[in-house]
Amino acid sequence: MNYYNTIKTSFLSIPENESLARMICASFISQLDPTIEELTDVKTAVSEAVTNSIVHGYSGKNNGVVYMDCKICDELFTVEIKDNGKGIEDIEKAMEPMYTSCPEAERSGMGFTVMETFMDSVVVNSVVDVGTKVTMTKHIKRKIL
Amino acid sequence: MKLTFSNEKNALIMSVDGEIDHRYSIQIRNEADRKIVTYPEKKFIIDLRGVTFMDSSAVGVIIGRYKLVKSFGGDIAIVGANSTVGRILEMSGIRKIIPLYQSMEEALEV
Repeated sequence: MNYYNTIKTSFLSIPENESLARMICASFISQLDPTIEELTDVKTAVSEAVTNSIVHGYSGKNNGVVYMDCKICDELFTVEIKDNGKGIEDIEKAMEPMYTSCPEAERSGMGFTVMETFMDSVVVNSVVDVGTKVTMTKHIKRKIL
Repeated sequence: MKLTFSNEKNALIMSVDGEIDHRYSIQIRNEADRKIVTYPEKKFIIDLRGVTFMDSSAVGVIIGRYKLVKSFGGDIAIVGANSTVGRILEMSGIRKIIPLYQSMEEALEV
């Protein structure tokens, strides 16, 4: 391992922090000099995961805490987004394209599909009434360090 | 995010500038619905040329407006999609039900 960096953040489960989370991730991976497309991929996937924590994990309550830890290990970027919300009963179903647990809120049910498309790997761990952790990785070819 | 409404050639145009995420999709939904209900007979054009970022929240809000406009017997179209916007739209299958135009002139002509 030649290069290693990590940050740990936590923020309240309010919608205003969705853009904050995107910006933090974008700033953090900028040290790998990503392409615009790589940057957008990461921002979009992070936006989906953080929105899930706020909308589903904490059911829109604004007093929850979302934890976002980012790591760079050589050319591998890892982001872990965790909440202590209500958890997911059926992870397999939740990850089905177009499935949404709250259609009345006009959620598209595409969140996990977007994460899986834009990142190299997505792992979801969840325990009902304990919380959910989404771990995503993306290889970013290093140009400048 | 900045939202602008205008009327042109019997169309109600909603231009979005900036980012569309869950937070802003709620604002877009509320403001768009007020306008659509006021002008139900008009064609509704969603102008995404100024969008710099969007996630799947935007898909939900577009499909919701599609259903509302169709319930009034209206038409709906999308204008402009850079690569970021285009990929999400493509993935969602929205393009199968809502036509996408590169220019406002094209959208207004149809």
